[in-house]
Amino acid sequence: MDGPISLRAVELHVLLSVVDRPRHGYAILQEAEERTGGQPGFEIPTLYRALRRLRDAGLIHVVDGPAADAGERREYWEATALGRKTLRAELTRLESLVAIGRARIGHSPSGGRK
Amino acid sequence: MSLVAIASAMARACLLLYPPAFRREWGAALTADICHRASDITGQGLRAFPWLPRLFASLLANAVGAWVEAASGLTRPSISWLDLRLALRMLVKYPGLTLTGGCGIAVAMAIVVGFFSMNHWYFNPRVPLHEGNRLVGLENWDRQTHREQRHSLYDFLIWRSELKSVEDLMAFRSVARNLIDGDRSVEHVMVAEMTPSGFALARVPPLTGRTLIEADTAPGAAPVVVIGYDVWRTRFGSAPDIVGRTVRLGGAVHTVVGVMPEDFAFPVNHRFWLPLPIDHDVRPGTGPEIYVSGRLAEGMSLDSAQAELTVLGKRLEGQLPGTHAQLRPEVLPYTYPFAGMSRASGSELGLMNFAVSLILIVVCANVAILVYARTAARMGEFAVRGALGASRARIVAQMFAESLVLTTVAGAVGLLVVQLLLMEARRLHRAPEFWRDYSLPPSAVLYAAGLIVLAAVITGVIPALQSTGRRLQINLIHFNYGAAPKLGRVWSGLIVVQVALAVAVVPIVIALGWSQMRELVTAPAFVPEQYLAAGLAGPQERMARTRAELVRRLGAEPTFANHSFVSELPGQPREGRISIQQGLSVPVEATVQTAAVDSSFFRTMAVASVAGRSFVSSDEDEHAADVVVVDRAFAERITGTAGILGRHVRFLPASRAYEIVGIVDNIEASPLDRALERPTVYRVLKGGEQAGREIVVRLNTVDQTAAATTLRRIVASVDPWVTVDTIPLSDIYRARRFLFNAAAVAIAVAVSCVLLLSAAGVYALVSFTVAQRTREIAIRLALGARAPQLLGHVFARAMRQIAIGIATGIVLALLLDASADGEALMGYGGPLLSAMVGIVAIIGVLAAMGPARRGFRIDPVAALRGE
Repeated sequence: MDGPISLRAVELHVLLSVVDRPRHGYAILQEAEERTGGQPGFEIPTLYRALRRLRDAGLIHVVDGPAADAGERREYWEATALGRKTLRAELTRLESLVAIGRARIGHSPSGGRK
Repeated sequence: MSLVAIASAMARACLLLYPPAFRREWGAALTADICHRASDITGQGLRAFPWLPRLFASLLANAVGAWVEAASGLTRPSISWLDLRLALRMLVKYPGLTLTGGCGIAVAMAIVVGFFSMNHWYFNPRVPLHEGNRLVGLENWDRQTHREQRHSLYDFLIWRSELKSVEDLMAFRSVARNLIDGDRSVEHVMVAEMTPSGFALARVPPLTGRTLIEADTAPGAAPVVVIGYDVWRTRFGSAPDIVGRTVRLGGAVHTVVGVMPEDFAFPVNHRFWLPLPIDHDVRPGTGPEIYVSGRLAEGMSLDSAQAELTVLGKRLEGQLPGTHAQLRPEVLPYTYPFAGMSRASGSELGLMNFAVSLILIVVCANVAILVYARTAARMGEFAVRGALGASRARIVAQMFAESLVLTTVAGAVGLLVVQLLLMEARRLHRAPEFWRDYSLPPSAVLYAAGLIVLAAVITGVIPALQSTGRRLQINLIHFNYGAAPKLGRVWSGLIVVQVALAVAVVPIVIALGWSQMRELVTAPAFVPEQYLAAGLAGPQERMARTRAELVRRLGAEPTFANHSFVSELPGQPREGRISIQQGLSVPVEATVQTAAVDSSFFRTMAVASVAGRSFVSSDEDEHAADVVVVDRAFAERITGTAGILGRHVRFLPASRAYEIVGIVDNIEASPLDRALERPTVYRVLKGGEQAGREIVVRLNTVDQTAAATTLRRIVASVDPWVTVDTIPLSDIYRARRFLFNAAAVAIAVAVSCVLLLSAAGVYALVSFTVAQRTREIAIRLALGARAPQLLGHVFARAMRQIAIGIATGIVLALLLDASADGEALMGYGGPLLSAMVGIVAIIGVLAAMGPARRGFRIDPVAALRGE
């Protein structure tokens, strides 16, 4: 990678799902639904395009699935070292954005809601 | 039908819209997950609506996205310096492909860029004056004849007083004048008779003195002239007291009032400027033929000026239906009227450029086949690189780099050729228009750069895409087993198409080229160096008297042996249709060369009489019978010599009947074929006829320059207002020879390129097809096959494809010839097609021979081990 990349929402969800353990495509969607209260904002075709992009960029790779799933021909994805690094950078970026946003809302003339 | 079944069917159907690579890799998993999802939704009792439409929209939107990513993914890998070095190495490694493809692309590029540049100069030249791009020309076009109507002095006066969108309106005409320097010399010069506003339009101040002013145009004003820098320097030795000195132009002596700066040649290529006399009472559609120009007013565009002029034109049309009903006034870019172009001409530009650019695309398609053949030979290499992690995009990018290097080198050569031709044109063009710029326009270089990339895409990316992809994995398997990859039907199809095109196109190119060239291979039956040709120009009312006096004066001049007045000079014939009565049957029509000559023409040109009589001076009498003399070619090819005398000829579309009174020898002979000699009909110039403004003079001297000076001096002394423009007849024939040589070179280059590309294409395709089978040949030999039988088998397969191609090509050529009424093969179909079939067959055999011999040499044991 030449420099930090900003991730799309769907890519962020994929990386969040596969950073701690391998997951297959549908499981990634299910986890994203859980995280977002059933509104992940993407459908399965979008997910697969995201998987391809992340794979081509070297952020995720295919790993062996758990023994229990050996009968199913599913591909399990896991974040690569580069993927973890990218996710960390993206979270830091988001944190700084959140901080800026919070600070501004807190100091806005109308006060805003905290 | 369950939700799972519906969702699955929808996914499968929509996946057909995805790029094949995506479908292959992700389609199954995507469909499976959609089925899981549908099953979950059903199981949880959730409603299918709105999930199904959302899924459908997502499937469609992602199909588009996947295509966009597939396209951009190919260009994502950048081209490295290493790629370029590798590409250069490939150029050296495959010299045949480099030379063949490079030559083809270079020639095509030269043609396309040359044509583009030429269009640019005509349609979009930079006018090197202050706000030159705001200068416009105004002229009337005849709606029926689609020609300019330049008798527009009346219109000019109206336009000048009423138009708001065009300012500084000026009118001028270009006239020939004798520049007479006492008794010493007479020079033929072109003078601009221009309204003084022309200088305001050009916005160029004089170097010395003043420009023309309105007072100079007043009746009775002293004749004045503004001269150019060159004239001041060469004729007056840059004299500082030039203002007030005199110049004799024709019969009038003009006082020099100013000198214009160097390179000023406004309005076209002029060096002398006189005031244009304007008759304010001129009737519509009369007066001199003039050009009108002006400057777009502030904030006005060509279209807004045209709108105003159209309204004015409609008004004039209503007021003057007799002269203006057919006229369409146009506002044009400044240079258009001088090139005879209307507004419609500009819109055809893009189409013409596209049509000519197709030449490059056809050549590139041919080179792409060669590259494809080479790519096929490198499939093993690509397969291994793919296995080692190179993406398809990476391999495609590398092949693009290789082609880009080839097309850049070829494109640069093409541009160099155009530049050299431009330098030659600059050398030959003695009096170019002041806006003429003989350098490659930047837009042409940009256009060439775009074409170079396009050529690289066609010759590099398309073969790369065709030979990578899923095939890469298959090829790796073949490579592991030591076998050549299978190329399938595409390959067979390419061979057939390549052979068919070679057989169809090459003979047509040769036939068309030769038919054009052979007509130029005619030699004059006289010695051109002994003749001087001259064109007379001057006021019509003076010409008859001048001619009569000239006949007397030229006859008395010892420098001249004979002279003759003609309508067309030898070597510059005019074609026309005639009809001739053949006995009692319907008259026969024919296209022939026609010329009107005086009675001394055949004597002057030393043309012998074959039958009947030649012209005599009494034939020139206005009341004499209408007679013509025909040449031998006419008698032999159109009527037959028997009984030709006394028949009648009519010049079409309508003329009186002229009696044939004699047959003379041909004035030009063809050493190749007498059938090429053009039939000619000569009619006699009647006394006082205006057509005979050309003179051809046979000289008693070898010094043509001195003879030309004498002729100009005699003409100026007879009437200073009549000018004479001289040219040695040998120069006319030299120009024709130059044309012949240029045509010969162009046709030879075109034929060589087509032949070379076709031959290389057929060779590459066939040799690779056979090369695929070398291992098979070796194994068959090992298993006991007899060599001659095997060889026959190999050749039979290669030749079957070639035979289909040849048959298709012959049918194609004959169809094209038939649709062009025999004008495609020009009657040479038999020998040319046979020769081409022979050449293609030989190339096919040679191409198959090499790989087949290699097959026979492979150790059968090694071949079997490979299996």
